[in-house]
Amino acid sequence: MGRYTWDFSVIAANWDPLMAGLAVTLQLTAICAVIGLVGGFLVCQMVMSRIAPLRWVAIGFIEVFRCTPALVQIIWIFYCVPFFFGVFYDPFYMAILALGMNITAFNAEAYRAAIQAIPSSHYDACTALGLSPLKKTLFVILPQAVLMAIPVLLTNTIGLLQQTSLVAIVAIADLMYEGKTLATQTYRPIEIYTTVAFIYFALSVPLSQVVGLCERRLRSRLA
Amino acid sequence: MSSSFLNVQGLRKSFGGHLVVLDDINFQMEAGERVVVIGPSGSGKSTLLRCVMGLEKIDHGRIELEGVRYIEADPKSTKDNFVNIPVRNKVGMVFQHYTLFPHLTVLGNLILAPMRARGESRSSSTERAMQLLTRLGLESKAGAFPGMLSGGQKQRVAIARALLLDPKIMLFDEVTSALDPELVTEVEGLMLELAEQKMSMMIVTHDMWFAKRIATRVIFSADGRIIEDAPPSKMFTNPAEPRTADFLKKVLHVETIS
Amino acid sequence: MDITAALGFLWDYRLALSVGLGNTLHFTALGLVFGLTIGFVVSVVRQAGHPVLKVIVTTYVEIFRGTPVLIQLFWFFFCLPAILGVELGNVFSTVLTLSLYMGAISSESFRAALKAIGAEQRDACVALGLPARVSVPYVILPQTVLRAVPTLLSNCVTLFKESALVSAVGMADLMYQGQMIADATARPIEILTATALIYFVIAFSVTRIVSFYERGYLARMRL
Ligand SMILES: Nc1ncnc2c1ncn2[C@@H]1O[C@H](COP(=O)(O)OP(=O)(O)O)[C@@H](O)[C@H]1O
Ligand SMILES: [Mg+2]
Repeated sequence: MGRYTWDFSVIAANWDPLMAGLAVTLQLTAICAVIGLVGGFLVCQMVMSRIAPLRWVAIGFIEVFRCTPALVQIIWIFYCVPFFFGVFYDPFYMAILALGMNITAFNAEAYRAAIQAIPSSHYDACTALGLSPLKKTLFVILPQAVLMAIPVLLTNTIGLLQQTSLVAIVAIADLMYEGKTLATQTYRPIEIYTTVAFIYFALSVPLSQVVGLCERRLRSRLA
Repeated sequence: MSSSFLNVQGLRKSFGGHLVVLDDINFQMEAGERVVVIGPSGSGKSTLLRCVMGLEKIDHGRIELEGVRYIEADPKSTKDNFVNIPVRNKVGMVFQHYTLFPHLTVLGNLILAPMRARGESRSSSTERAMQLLTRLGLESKAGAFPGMLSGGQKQRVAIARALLLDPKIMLFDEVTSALDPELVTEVEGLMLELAEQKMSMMIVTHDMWFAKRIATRVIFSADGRIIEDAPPSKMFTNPAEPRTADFLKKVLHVETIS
Repeated sequence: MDITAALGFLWDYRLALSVGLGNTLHFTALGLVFGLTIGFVVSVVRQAGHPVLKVIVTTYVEIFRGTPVLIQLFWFFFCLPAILGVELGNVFSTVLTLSLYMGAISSESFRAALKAIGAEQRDACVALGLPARVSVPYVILPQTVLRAVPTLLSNCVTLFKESALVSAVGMADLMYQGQMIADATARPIEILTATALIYFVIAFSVTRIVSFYERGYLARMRL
């Protein structure tokens, strides 16, 4: 076995670019997470809509984004959007477009599963209480659906954080990209990649703890 | 004492060390007896049956079948109980929620233990299983999965599965409680049939009329103890303990059943 | 866009694309076989193993679920060989990464299925006098697998999609071939759309099988 001498001083020396990359990663994650939370609910409403064409569009959208690799989506949008529209947007916005649509599709499924899990007796109870359809959706269905969907939505958001690393492949200067660049510049890939992996890990772990907590609280609340 | 058929000596069972559910239970029964255990919810009836089946780790005491000790607590250590598995395997149990194996057919459920655990041949165990199913009018269901059966059919299959192992004693824990009322009689009917064949049984039930019909002895338990132990004629008409009378009044809404 | 011209253009590159698809399927299949094995063993250890082993495998699962697959790939390509001081080979590194990732995500599916087999089923095994050598292979394992199949198939789709990342470390999979041809011919739309479509058809088919299985087989058995 070879003996490798670790030297983490390279991390301290390149702290600033790493943090700049982290900032981009967090920005991307936060913006796309918000898009996904709102967009997912809207697409889910379309899936459950009474208007058939709306339904088809929404289902097609979900299936396309769930059944192709996120990397393919990103590359496709980067190469093809300029071709179709004849403009080249800032890569950062293209990345938001790609990742935002991706998480929207996954969140739409999460909302749908949560709404379908609401027992039909609740709908009957609403009718029995004389609630109007709007009030029923607003005060009975929506709060329950969001509550039930929280664990999956959070899990999807952790996935999003990890998916943002794909933008490094199209040269957006996120954490992964900075790591890649530094690894070749400094000839110390081991320290750099290990540190980058650790940063992603340190961001994911608290989030997944929250997921576990939510699931336990929900289970005891709805038991 | 140890000449009794089933002999429970000084049985103590707690959960988490402090919640004492069974407290120094001493209880004997003879072969062919049918003991019905009644008592308030949470009084430890299920736990008693589960201890006799060997499903719970007991804190103290011993249990013998036909004079052979098969479960014994070692009070000095926190290790598992002593269990004589071949003797324990002479005890059969049926649960409230059927607990059939959902991935096996009815026949598969019946022959799994004889074939895989007792080394009986497939043909012989299948033949015995089909005979039993025919007796119960369930032969057409042999190839069905449990999910396709009614609750009453499931529970009769569960009883058949236990019977196929030739148990010396059968334990029934609220086997009709999950059933729709119209399905209760088919299961109770089967248990009455077993009674005619002098099967030894311990039965937990909330159905006092059924208890009166099937029991040779009734035990009233509360707070982890046996409060009263009497034949059904005495227990249901003239209980000795005020607590028993109280309980019966609550569940029956009448003084006695005759 | 002229459809016949596009199809003719794609037809010229059918060989390169099928080589890419072959590699994608090859990596995915190896990752599945090793990953599912790892996943099952890990789930059993987490349920019933020695406490020290439990900590080790739990850490493994958390790390691989908590970091981007891209950084895992980079790490196994550029760091592990240097640390060990041996040449690992690109295919080996690829399959190792995909297997470990699949092992981590599938262990969660196995674990959930193991948990879902209630205490009642185990009680029934004792009441029937089934020793572990009978109850494990004939009662516990089949039910675990039957229950886990839908999520495991979803895990397979996930692995299939994530395998596109190996293009970033220069492995000639479908994504890589697609991108190469797109760059070389300056006609990204046709080729990238075709690439996306191939991924879609395969992934979508598997998800259909999942819902067919859930509705048919599992529903019939009321597992
Ligand atoms: N596995 C367990 N863990 C903790 N407490 C238990 C467990 N099983 C039963 N108990 C408690 O033991 C008591 C007796 O339960 P049980 O034997 O089921 O009563 P019964 O069958 O008479 O209604 C109850 O207070 C119950 O909450
Ligand atoms: Mg009970």
